[in-house]
Amino acid sequence: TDDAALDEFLDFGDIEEQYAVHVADQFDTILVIDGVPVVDEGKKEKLFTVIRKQFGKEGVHVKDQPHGFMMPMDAATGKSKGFVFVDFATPADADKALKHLQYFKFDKSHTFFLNKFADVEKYAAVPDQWDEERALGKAPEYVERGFLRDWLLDAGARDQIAVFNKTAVSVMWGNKANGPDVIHERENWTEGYIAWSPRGSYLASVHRMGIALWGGAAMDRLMRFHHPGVRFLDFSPKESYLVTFSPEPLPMPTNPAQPWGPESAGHHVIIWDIRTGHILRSFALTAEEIATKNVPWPLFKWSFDEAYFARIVGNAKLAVYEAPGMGLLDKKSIPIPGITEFEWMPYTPDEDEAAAKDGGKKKQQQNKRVQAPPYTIAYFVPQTGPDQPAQLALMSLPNKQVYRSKQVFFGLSAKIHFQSQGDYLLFKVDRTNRSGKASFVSLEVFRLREKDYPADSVEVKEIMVAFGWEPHGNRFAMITTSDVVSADLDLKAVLAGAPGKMTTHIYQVEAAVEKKGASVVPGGVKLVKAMDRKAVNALYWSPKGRYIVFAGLRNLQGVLEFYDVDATAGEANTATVTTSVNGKTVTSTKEVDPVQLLAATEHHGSSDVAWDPTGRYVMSSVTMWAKGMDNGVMLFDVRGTMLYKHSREQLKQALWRPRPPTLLPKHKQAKVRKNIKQYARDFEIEDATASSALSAAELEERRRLFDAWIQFRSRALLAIEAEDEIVTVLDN
Amino acid sequence: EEHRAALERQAVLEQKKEALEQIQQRKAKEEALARQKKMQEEREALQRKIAEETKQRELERLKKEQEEIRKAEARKIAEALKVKSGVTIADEDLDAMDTTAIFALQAEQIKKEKEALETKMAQVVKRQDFLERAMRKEEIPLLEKAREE
Amino acid sequence: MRPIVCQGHTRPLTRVRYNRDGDLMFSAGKDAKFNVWSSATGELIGSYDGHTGVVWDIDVDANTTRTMSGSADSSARLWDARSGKCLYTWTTASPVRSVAFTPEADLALIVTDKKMGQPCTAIIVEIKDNVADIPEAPLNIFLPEPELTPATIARWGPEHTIYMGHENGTVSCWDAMSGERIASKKIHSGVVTDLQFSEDGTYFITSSKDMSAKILDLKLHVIKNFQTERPVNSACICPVKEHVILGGGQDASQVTTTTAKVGKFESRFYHKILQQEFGRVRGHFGPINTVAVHPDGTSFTSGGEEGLIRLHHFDPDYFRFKLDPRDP
Repeated sequence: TDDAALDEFLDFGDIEEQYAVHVADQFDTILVIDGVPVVDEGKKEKLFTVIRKQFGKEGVHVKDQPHGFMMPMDAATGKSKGFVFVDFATPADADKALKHLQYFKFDKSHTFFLNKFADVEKYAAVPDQWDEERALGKAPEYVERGFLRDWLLDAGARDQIAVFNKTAVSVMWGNKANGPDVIHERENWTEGYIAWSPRGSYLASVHRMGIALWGGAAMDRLMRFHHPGVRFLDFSPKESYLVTFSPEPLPMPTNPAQPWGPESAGHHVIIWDIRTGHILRSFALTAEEIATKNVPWPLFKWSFDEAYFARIVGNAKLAVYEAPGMGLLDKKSIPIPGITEFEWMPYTPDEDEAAAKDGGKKKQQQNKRVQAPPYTIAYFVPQTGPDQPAQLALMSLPNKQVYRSKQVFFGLSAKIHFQSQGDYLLFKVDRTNRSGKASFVSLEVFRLREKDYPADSVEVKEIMVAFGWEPHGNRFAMITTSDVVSADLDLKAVLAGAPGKMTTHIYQVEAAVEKKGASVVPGGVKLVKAMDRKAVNALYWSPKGRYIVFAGLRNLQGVLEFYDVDATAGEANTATVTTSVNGKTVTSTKEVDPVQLLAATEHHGSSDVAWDPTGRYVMSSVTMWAKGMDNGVMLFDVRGTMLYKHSREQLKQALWRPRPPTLLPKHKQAKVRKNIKQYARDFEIEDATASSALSAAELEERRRLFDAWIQFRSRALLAIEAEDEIVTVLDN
Repeated sequence: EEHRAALERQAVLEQKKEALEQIQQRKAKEEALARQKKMQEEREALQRKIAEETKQRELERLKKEQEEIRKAEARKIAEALKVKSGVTIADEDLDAMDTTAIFALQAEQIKKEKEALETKMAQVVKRQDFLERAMRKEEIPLLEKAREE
Repeated sequence: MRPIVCQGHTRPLTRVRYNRDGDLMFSAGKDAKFNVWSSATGELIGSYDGHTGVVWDIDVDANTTRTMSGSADSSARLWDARSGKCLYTWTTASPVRSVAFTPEADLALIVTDKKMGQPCTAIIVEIKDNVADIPEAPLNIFLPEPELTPATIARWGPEHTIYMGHENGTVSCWDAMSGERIASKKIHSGVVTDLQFSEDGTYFITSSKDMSAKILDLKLHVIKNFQTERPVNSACICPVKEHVILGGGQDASQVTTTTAKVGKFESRFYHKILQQEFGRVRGHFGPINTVAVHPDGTSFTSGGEEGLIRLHHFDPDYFRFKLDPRDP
């Protein structure tokens, strides 16, 4: 596909040579254009005509036929490879094209990337040098970029786990029984750590000289990003961009292996185009960030569709950039004096469409679902003076309008938490009273699906240890402690040394209800349940919501408590028991608690807990950073039953591979849900087959026995029916 | 002679009269005694009866008190149960129950609930897995198509 | 599965049965006792007193109004199920081996032993609501034919047929009204020890000293075979799950020389369709002489040579368990 075009070019040295010979003398006029639609032989000429015409409109002229275009075709598919060599009329045209037509939007789904032929050669030279510098293991060299979602085709619908222990990285199937199956294992796969991209397409490894991305069926190396001393990396939400940070400033480029230009010298942060491996832009840190060595990470926060990314500059401005152009929105930062925190609102267009459709069908539904502007930033400005309270604000982009704000007196700092669908927003504000002596937390909860975005405030007198919104839900959970020693709040000490002093809370946000002819029942935040004296300090919601694990990590013994917070969903909320007492039948009823403990278990010394992307499993891990021995992972199901323990000496990381959104349209999902019983029958048999080591012959024998029995039964029943009929006839 | 006879007759009469009087007196005395005795007995019987009744009443009171205490205790425990675990027992049933029975009932409730939860969660785990697998089964052809493109 | 041990017999058990409602469990033993228990709690509710010899077989009618018993004291008795009062006694020429009501309880079957110079007989008697109306003369009497050795167990089949198991392993089918033999077949190579019908009466299971139990259809075709390595004294068919339960163990005569472990005094669970053993319930320290399963399949009872009855209520696990995904 066109994704792979440049890489194909890089790898097909023969092609390169071939063209190099022909074009050597016309060097100045030739550009390589990547991101061109893939077409077959028949449409080739038409494509050239369109490009020529479009470029012509921009005042750039391509050489006359037949020399203007050269497009390599893939012999196997008969189609083009997504790039084309364009010979411009003059070197000036080529220069102009390079300047003005970079990121040229050819059509809805194709953006052009232009490169000088010489540059292509330069990039092609990079990999080998790097290989010599740093061993990356004996990975098979990448051949074709192609399809990056092979792992989604697993017939067993399993998910993958990447494990980094000792000096090796393994990628394995997280089976539900018998422990994981290792698929790929390589020594020295990484020199620092590993990370999955947010949709699971890439596994990133961190090296002294930069970042490498791996993927595809064979976990080939797909791309390298040369950034000396790289420390942090961050992907954009749709995996188009990679942001890297190194504490070492970029030096002046002196050789072609350094892909940055002189303008990047001294910069610490680079944004890369993942598909091409090109640097899109580099950034300097602020003087303060350099001086304090305190770089917030991720430095840039991305909008849901990665159209924008933003960062705070010097607690005074919010710099919002546009991708892929990488320029500042309206060429200037947004001044917000005092700003300390901001977050983008999650936005899920598909689901909103479905919800709108749903709402349209249900006409009786009174409450209309309000939609906050898709590009919304929530930010916080702390109290700056006695009469200038802290400010919580929602701003829409690109128009930079603050459409909702709230003042909070004596708010000193805040954390911003959006619910996964952008339905709710919560500011956790640390406050003091007027004298500044007593500190407390207030939770400012905004309901973004209701008119005027109503807000409620919940005061928390205790220290907040953990917080989390229920994904796709209307609940949030938190863990607090009243530990008084923490007057000068060393949270780490609290976490480490206060077993059994924690309280877990589940809150629910309720929408206002409009009833015809009646006054509006106001919505609000309601405590569902608080549970005292727990030895837990972390909470993990299932990605599907409803189920939550409270965990006591590190020093808290590795306690794992599995809860269902919606136990009465779809069921009676009272349970009745009838018993015989002294010969008399007695009935007792009990209100069923909506928050129900499913299991309280333990993975001693565990430091990390993670749900698989489907919400079916929970993995806890004991890493070498937390505990010197018993390193490894345990897998649990939703009800807290341990499925297996998998030991890994010197475990450093164990990470579930994320999954992209499903390709299955909403209506098809509904259909599957409806027909689940039919699927279940097949899966039951599949599972039984997999779990018992029955041979094919034994399975066949079983099938035969069951069939024979069913036949025998139906014959017997038919006989009875026949007899009944005779009897009826005789009786009449 | 006649006079002597008359005198003798008189004397006899006197004697008889005297004897009769004596008899009457004795009889009266005896009757009085008997009456007295009877009265005494009646009094005693009454006293016994009263004592008996008092004792009975006392016993009943005690029994009632104990019953009240038992009921109150049962109520108290039932109330505590209601607060602690949400188990509610109907009032009319409560009268027939003692502490042991209430605890037995609670144990039964807990046991049944646990069983019900276990059964439910076993289904939840299965259903979740099957649903995910079914979704993916249907998604695979779409992915295959995406791979071809 | 926590068993309830019912103590009420002093000698080996001969038969345990449930009534149709399943709230009661009945037991008979060599101590001449015929007891009734609460099947929920194992509490002894009462007994039917009167027999002076081993009670070999018992039955309960569908409404639990009357019970019946057959004894080595050469009598069969009809009892009032609730009061325990003996309503009627049939005196026979030899010990009674088997008794059974028809489903309507308008007739009963009494099978006597070939003993004391008497042949094995099958006696069909009439039962009346008013016991005074019960005629003294039986409705029919017939003898198993010479080549069929004595019957050890007899049960009603559909349409006034009688199915019998015999000492030599033969299973036979008779017309109760005419006394004609409809079919017979050598099924086992040892004594047939028990014969119990499925819930709907379309097939039955036989057990034998030949260490097997078999499911037969009404035409005496062997449909299933359950092979063990110890004599099988009793077998029953579970109504809900596709299971059968077999009880047995080393012979009583060798019990003194065998430990419980070697004797294998276990209730053994087999998959009815796959014929595979998947579970055992231990506890008896003598051979199991009789097993019965609750009509709803929620519990089962076994009676042992050592004189103990063990009543087992199944756990939720049992109902969740599937040997094969096709299982209910």
